[in-house]
Amino acid sequence: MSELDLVRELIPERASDPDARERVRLAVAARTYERRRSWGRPRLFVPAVGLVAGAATAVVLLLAGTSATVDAAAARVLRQAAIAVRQQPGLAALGPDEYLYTRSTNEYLSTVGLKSSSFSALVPNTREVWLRRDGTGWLHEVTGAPIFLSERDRHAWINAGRPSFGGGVTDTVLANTDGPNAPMASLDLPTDPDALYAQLHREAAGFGSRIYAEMFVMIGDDLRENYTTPAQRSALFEVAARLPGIQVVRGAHDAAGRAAIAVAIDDSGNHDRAALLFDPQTLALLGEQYVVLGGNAFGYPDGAVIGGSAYLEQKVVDSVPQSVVDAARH
Amino acid sequence: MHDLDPGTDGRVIRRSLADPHAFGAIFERHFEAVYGYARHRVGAQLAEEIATDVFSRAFDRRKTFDVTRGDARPWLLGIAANLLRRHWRTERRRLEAYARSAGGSASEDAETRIEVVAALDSLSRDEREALFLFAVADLSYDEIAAALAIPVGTVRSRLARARGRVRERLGASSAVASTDPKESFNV
Repeated sequence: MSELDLVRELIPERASDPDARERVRLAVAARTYERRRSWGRPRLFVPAVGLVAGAATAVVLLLAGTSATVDAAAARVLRQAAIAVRQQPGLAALGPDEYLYTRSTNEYLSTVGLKSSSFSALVPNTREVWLRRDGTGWLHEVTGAPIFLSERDRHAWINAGRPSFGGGVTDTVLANTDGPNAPMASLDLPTDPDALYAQLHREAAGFGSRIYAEMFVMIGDDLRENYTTPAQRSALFEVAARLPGIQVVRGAHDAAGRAAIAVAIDDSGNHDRAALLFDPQTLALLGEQYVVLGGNAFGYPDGAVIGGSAYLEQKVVDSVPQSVVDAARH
Repeated sequence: MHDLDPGTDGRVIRRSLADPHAFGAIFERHFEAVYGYARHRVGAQLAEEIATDVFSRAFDRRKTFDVTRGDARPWLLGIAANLLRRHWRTERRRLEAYARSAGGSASEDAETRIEVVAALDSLSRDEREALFLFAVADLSYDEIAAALAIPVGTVRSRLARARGRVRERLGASSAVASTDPKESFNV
C-alpha cells in the first residue's frame, strides 16, 4: 500500500445523501442566478451605480416590524404608493420597434476572488439601457472607482496589485436571451393583486422560510428596468404590502443621495435586507437598496449598504441615439 | 435550469455571462465531484456549505474562467481547495477520530493511520492541498496546476515533498510502497 492509498483510505466512503444535491442546488441558485431575476436579463443588478459617498456607509435605523407578521405601518406606505402610482400617466405604448429607455445611478458590491485572497468593494456606475419588447437592445455604462467598505478589503486589493473591478465606459449590444427571464416578461404581469400574489408565490417556491424575502426581491426586479403600466406597478406595491416581515426604515437615502422612506424585508439566510425607497412626500418610487445585517459573511457592520439603485428617468424612445452608437465604435 | 447543455464547460460559462441560468449546467455536471471531494475531507454537513460556496464563487468569478479550457472541474476543485484550507483543524480532528476508531482488532492499522494524520499535519498548506487534490480528487499534475494556478513543476515538487514527508514519518514501514499506478500518467 502506498502513502497515497493511506491518505485516500483515512476516511471510509459513505453513501451520499440524495437530498444534498437538491439542497445545495437551491442554495446556489438563491445566491446566484435566481437571487435577482434581472441577472437573467443582462441588466441592472450585477453592475450598478453612481453614488454619493455618504450612501456607502449609511446606516439605516429599523423602527418597526417583525419577521412573522405584516407590519401595519409598512403596509400603509405601500398601499399609499399603490394609490399614488395609479394617478400617474404612465409610459407611452411600447411598439415592437421602439425602446424602453431607463437611466439610473447605482452602486453594488463586487467581489474579486483570487487564489490567495478575495476582496469586495462597492462599484458605482451610471447606467442607460435601451430595451425592445423582445429583449434586444443596448446598454451604456460608466463605472467609477471602487469604494471599499473595510480596511481589510482595501489592503487585500492593494496587496493583490490593485486589480480592476471593471471600469470606464462600456457599451454592450444586448441579445435576446429568450426563455422565462426575457426582459419584457413584465408585459404579462397581472394587474389583479390576488393573481399577482399567487404568481410570485409560485415562482418563489423552494425558498422555504425565506419565500417572502424572495418575493420582495422579485417585485423589485419587476419595477426596475421593465415596462410596467401604472396598474401593474400598483399591483406590485399591493402584493408587497401583504408580505409578512415588511418593515418601515427611516433615514435612508437612495444611490443618488435623495432622502427616502424605505420599506424593507430581512433575509435572515443571507443576513441582508432589501428595501424599496419612496419619496417621503409623493411616495413615488425612487429606487432600491440592499444592506447587510449583523453576522454577515463579509464582516461588515450591521446596516452597511452593499447595493442600491436610483431610478432617474424612464421613457419610450424610437432608437438608441446615434451619438452613443458612434462613440462606442471609436 | 439547464440539466444538460451541449458544448464544453468553457462555452457554457461564456454563454452564462449573457444568460446566467446557463450556469446551472455547470452545477449539474460537477456537483458530485465538488461535493464528493469536500464530503470526503470534512464530512457531509460542512461539505454542503463548501459546495454552495464553491459554485456561488465560481458564478461570481465566471468572467475570469479561461473559456478555452474544456473542463471546469479543476477550476472548481481549486476553489474548493482554497475554501477547505480554512478547515484543516476540523479536518484533522475528524481524521484522528476516524483513525482511532478504525483500529478495532488491528491496532497497528490505527497507529499507522494516526501517523498519516500527523504527517499531513506537518505539511505546509500548499503541499497538503496538492496532495489531497492528487490522492483524493484524482486530478493529474496538469489539472492540479490549473486548479491552484501554479506551474506544473511546482506541483511535482510539492507532491514529491509531501509524499516524502509522509513516507519519512511512517519510517521504514513495510506497509508503504513508493509508487502509485496513477503516476505513470503524470510523469
